[in-house]
Amino acid sequence: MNRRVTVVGSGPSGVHFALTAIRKGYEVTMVDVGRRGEAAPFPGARFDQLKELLPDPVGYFLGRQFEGLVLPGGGKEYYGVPPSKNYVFETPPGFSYVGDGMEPLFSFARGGLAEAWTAGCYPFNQAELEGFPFTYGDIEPWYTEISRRIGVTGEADDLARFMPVHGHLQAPLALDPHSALLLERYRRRKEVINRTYGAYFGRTRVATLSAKLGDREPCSYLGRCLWGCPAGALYTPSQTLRELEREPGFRYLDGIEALHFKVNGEGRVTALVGRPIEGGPPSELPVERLVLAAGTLASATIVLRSVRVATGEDLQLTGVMDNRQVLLPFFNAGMLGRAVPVSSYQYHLVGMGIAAADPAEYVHCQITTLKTALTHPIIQSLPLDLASSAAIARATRSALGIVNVNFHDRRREGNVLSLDQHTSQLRVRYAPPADEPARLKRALTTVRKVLFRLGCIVPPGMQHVRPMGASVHYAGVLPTGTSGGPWTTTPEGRCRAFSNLWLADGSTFPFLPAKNLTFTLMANAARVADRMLGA
Amino acid sequence: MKAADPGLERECQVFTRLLGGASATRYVVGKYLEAHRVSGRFEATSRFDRWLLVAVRGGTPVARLADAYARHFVPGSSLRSKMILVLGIMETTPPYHRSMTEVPARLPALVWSGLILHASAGVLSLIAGTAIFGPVQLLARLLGKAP
Repeated sequence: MNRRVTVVGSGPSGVHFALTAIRKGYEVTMVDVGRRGEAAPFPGARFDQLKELLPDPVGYFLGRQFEGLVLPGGGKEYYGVPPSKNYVFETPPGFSYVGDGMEPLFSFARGGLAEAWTAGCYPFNQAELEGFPFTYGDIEPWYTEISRRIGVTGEADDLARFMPVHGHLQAPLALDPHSALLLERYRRRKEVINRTYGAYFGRTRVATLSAKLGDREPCSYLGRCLWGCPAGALYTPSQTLRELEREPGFRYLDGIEALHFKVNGEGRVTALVGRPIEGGPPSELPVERLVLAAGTLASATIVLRSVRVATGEDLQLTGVMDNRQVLLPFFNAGMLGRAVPVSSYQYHLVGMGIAAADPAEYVHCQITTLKTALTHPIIQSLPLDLASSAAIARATRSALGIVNVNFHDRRREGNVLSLDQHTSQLRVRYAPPADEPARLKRALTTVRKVLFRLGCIVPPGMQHVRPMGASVHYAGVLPTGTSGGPWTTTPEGRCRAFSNLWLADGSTFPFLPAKNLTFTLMANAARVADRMLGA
Repeated sequence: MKAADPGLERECQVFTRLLGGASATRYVVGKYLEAHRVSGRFEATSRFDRWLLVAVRGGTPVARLADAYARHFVPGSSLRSKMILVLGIMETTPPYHRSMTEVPARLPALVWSGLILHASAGVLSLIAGTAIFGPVQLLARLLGKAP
């Protein structure tokens, strides 16, 4: 029996599908554009020390074109993409899309968009998996397996009512003083917060090591997470890709953009057509089994192009989803006068969950306290001149934080991916549900009230509703189910339109809970590989 | 050529002194000039904006009042963008970054006093800035010399 699989994409889905397949004795060819970043400079230096050591610190932190500088009118984001991560979002020559109601981000990097993630690892619970053709019990072993592979920290605390506790959890990372104070105050007032607001606090689950795992060292609290963890303690899919590259059965074809696949008269995919990024004519790669794991939008684009090439039909894939995110900066008077730690984990350490009448509509919040970060985006948002604002920001630095409030999304027929009639450009059309403003208002009022109970206030006018596309949690256009039309997938991830095409990324999700989906992408890709390739 | 523009160097010195309390090093001036060379985000947006830039070269007090005014009435001005550029350069560059980002423990009462002082200074700057630059912008509009 032929034991060859071709995988498109090296993001979280692609690498964990491939690793599972390799371990089952299959040969895997991975096709990828594979843009690479530069190695982190001075790997042992803290954030503050880096500024002293680099010959051109402004070039590193703000970029050669000063693209890391956040200026007025920049969409009120409180941080920009650091120049060291620009490669993650760099697109191939000639690539473009048309966005209507959504401004999605694309990645053609080794490891995909998750090379720039904040490492949140939240398993979906049974209520959130209701529309999936498998239960939490079916996917739990794969959450545990991924946790064993990548290292996830967390503990069984009050948030466990929203996110089940799977195996292989490492102990949580050390808390910074501000996060510790928030949790301490929550513990003192938890009964009233639980009862009155349905809100629960706990440690966020993150793919950042608190203990050594293989050749990866635990977090050394350098405060450089956003610019790229120099120690590799914060997991990114390119680490698994490196592991795969050491496997004899793995072949990595980078520098190739997958365009479409070819189909024979029996509905079998026969070849993948790709073009070299450096130029030259497209070429064909014969395939036995093709797995699309390039991310929802890129995988969907390949399907749309393939259908057009094979039949001339302009297909529309419906139901694209994304998490709405709202940023709420807050001020904690109880932290005023305390020192800001120079050694710290930069990302979120504490989370809050708000229960909903329908458990699947739970609201998920990640709380990041301000430690190491560039503060010019915050300073300019204060309503005074910059000299006064800078002095105030410095005095209040230890007391500042930001809540990232995440909302669920459902598939709606009007949210469509299609190709432009005259080009092969992807068109994305998205409209939020009609009840979104009321839902956001209700949840944000609750978050404000809970923060107030903890001694924190949200300054007026500082709330920022991020545009659709900003969360980069795209899903849902080829939904999985026990039955469905040709543009759906089986519980094993096979596209019903073709006998040897599988999808292993978020495109198969029939529902998008408020949580970051990346952990479930990895677990589901491993599950699909297991089901697809058998024993 | 912008790199040799003494006006830009003067702006950089004024902004650095205002925001960091010290003169700009050659590195800071060099990065300020480089930003103007490689990015079009610091071009003046109107005649009034250009006039503001000339005015702030007069020194830090003028720059502070102009910035306070621009924060509310010309938020997308090149004046604000240039000052934020200097802020961004300073917070990533030794020795300035230490005074901007290192926060030792202090008595909360002292911090509150400082906050009241800085907020008061900010409000006074806004009032004074509005009193000075508001009529100028209004006059410029009436004369059709600014949008």
